[in-house]
Amino acid sequence: MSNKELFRQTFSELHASEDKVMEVINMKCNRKTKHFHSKRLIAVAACVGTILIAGVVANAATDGAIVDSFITVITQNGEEKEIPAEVSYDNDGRKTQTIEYGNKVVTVEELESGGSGYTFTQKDPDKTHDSITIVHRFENGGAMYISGS
Amino acid sequence: MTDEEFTSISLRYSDSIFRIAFNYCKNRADSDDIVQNVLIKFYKCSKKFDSEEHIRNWLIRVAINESKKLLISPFKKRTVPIDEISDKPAFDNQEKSDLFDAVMKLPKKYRIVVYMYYYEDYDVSEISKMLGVNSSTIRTQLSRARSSLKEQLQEVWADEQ
Repeated sequence: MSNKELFRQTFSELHASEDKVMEVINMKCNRKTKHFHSKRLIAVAACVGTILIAGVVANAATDGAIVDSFITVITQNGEEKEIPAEVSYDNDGRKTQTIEYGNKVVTVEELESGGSGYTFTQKDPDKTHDSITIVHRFENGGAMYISGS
Repeated sequence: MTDEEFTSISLRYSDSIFRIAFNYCKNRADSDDIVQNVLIKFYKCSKKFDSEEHIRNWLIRVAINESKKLLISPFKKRTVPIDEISDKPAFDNQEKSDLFDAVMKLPKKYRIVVYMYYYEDYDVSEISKMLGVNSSTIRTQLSRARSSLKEQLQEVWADEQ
């Protein structure tokens, strides 16, 4: 007997369970499919929930820095844009927000004396640049417009 | 695919899928689970198959992937020494029993190559494509597996070129 024949005869003794195969044939996957979809939905919902909770917790932990980290800019054509800012805190806990817009870097920092300091710098001094206006909103609903060039 | 086609293909290839799975995990329960997973995947698959051979190749490839997946799962990561295999079929002669034991003693990567070559009748390049392994590696594994089988089985296993 050749190796191949012996091998074939030996391994042909292994058979799948007829019951298990018939189980799949009879079920035609209907139940599995529904189960799979509901499982996937639950997983997606859990992920979304986790992200939302993590966002709220992170925002609370950073004292609102995530939500507050936008600076409103008024562009040359009068359009208002919310630009996400990089937020940092110094040793005394004072917040500094930095944004880059066009050729400018704008820094808004809380001052020791209260209020805010605004710095407008050029990223590339050789490039032409337009003036820029940012909006500082007060808690009472009022706003101050600060321009820099 | 009609229900009749699915039933016919399931019955025709379930044993092949089972043997592939058994060569990986060495036990009936896991192999039966793999058969079910592969058949469910086949039923859900919207792929257009060109031929019966195409279906067979697809089923075998999915069986290999499912077996590998099962083995890397943390719940299944374990080894089963040959003495503990309780799922060995009852053979009608000693040669078959010895060959079965000898194959099960081979490292997993050799077992599947030997099975694909000797049972499923695939050639080296086909096995190479299915396993995603270089042809020369398959040739080496096949040669080492043959040497090991020869060493274990002596005259039962004929010398090959």
